[in-house]
Amino acid sequence: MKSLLIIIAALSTCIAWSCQAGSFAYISNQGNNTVSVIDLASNQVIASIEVGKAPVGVATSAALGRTYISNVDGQSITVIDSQHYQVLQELPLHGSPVGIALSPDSKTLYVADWFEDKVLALDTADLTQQRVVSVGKAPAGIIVSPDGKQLYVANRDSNDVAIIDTASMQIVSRIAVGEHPFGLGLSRDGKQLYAVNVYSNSVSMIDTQTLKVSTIKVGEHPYCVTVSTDGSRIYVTNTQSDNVSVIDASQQKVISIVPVGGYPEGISFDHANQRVYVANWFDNTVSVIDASNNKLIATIATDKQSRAFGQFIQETAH
Amino acid sequence: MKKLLALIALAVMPLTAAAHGPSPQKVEKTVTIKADPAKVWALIKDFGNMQKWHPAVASTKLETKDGDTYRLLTLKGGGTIYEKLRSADDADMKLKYEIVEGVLPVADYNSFITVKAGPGAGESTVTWVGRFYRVYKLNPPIPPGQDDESAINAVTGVYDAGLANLKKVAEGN
Repeated sequence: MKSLLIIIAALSTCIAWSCQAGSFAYISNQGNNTVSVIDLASNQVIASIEVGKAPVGVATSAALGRTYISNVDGQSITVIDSQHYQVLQELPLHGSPVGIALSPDSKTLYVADWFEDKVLALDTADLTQQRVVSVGKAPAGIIVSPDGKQLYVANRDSNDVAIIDTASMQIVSRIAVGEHPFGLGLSRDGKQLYAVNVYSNSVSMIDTQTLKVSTIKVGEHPYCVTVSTDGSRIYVTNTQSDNVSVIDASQQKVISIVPVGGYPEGISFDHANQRVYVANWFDNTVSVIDASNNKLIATIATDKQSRAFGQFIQETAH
Repeated sequence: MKKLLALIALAVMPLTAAAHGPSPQKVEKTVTIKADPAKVWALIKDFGNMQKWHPAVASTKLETKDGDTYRLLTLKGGGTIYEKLRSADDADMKLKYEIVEGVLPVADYNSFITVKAGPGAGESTVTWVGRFYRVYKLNPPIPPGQDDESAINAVTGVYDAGLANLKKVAEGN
């Protein structure tokens, strides 16, 4: 009885504060300038939000109740209230934002500028407070270490990954990878960094302590990568073979190939449900893969030209 | 004078930018043909003879380099397009190719053509899909002819004309 009352109390608090327990995917749709919100419990699209022109990057924070979208042609960042699925602000930027990522404490939003070869660090409490670092050519994917001290940047046209000290916003090292690195992924313990090499059809696996690099071959024109909860599996979207390569991290080889929709781009791991979500640019859908058996279990219609570049799943606090 | 200023502006712009623009563009066109899928697929997969079905192509020159197959299309309106064969899959009746260089106002263009049986008996459905970027690689303002719209219009023109004539050729005897 007592526990029932607690549950009821908890539920009514939720209703009062309009809180949403569970996990949600924010899928940017380049072709009609929207973001589809998918409730991962039901795999249903529960909201569609209009954003800026040609949205691509996604970064989301349960702690802030915010989702940030980079609009590359709109030259702006859209700030979404992820409690109410409403746009709070569209922040104009000088350049062309693509990759976008949050620090683990959600205090800093990093934005890679594709054309101006720099990364901005924005204070999420006051987005006008910005720091900047110049990086290599065409910075694409970015990701922050679990302790927040390092920012990794894939410099697509320099064929390297830059490691930036976030306190000083200085480059501390540049690691040569394959040709045209685009998406980045990081194990939860921060020990393994993955860079997807679009032109080399490979993934570079970087030991973040020793900076040693090993290379794993994947499918055609790979784009993005995500890592399982325990770090043992790596998932890579192959845009021109319409599938996902599943890699065993310790063996450093592909153990499964999962057919998904056309031109799969963004990919994120749903840690709560042990599933993999893939945005299919050509099909205007999201594919859902069961991580326990690498089977496709659902296909969700989204909107035109879904990209979802970055870590697009928000795991909301309960 | 205005033109001259634009030219000067172009000249001082850094040429070290990304290999292509940030947003991929898509064109997808489909045609139904009253002809057997095997017959239609035979036309499509014949990589060295595109002039047999595309009305804008005057001649096709096939070549092999390092085990890869390429074709040089000479267009009736002048200019050439150099393309690389990615795959020709008989089971799926799917041809994949990409543009290496050419006169179309596109960058990083890759494409596939599929032939499927139906909707009716003895009919084929051909779908031609392209993914590509605009030519201009930097921030706006984008020079005329190098924007997304120019790229989409050019590819749409190629697909529409090609599929209409493919239908004509395949349905004729």
